[in-house]
Amino acid sequence: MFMLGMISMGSAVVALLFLRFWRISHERLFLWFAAAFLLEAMNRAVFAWQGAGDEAALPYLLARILFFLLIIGGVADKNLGKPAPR
Amino acid sequence: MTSLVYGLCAGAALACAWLLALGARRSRSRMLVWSAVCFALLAAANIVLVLDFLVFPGIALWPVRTGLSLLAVGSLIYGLVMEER
Repeated sequence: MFMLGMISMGSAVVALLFLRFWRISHERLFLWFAAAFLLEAMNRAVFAWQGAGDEAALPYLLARILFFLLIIGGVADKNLGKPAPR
Repeated sequence: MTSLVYGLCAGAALACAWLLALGARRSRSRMLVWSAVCFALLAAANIVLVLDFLVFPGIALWPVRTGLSLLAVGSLIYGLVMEER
């Protein structure tokens, strides 16, 4: 439970750091990453709050899938969104 | 179903780690090195999760999984806070 809380808080901090980078650079990739880690923070918090029972439950599965889709989406957006300058 | 999802998550995390490692090598960015470490550890956590469900349902592997996830987030925080680029 303690470690889940630390992961949750850590993910929230990572989300805030990415938000800061986004504010400085206006790089959309950071916004994708911030959203992903904010979701991860909430996912872990809810899981701990519910007593850290069954990680196979659908909401946690969906949250985990969405986390990686957001990361992959960010990378895809970065690489396919606009052609990189040569 | 559960193992498939977490297996896919492990694969996605591994792909992220690999891409970040490539990026780190290309740009010599230490921040990206830490990001790659983070996703490699997340991949490991998801692999242990699949093992937990499929191979060792009787053994409580949650300390290993949670510990790996915590190390993953910790390494990313370290990289984002301590490295300039």
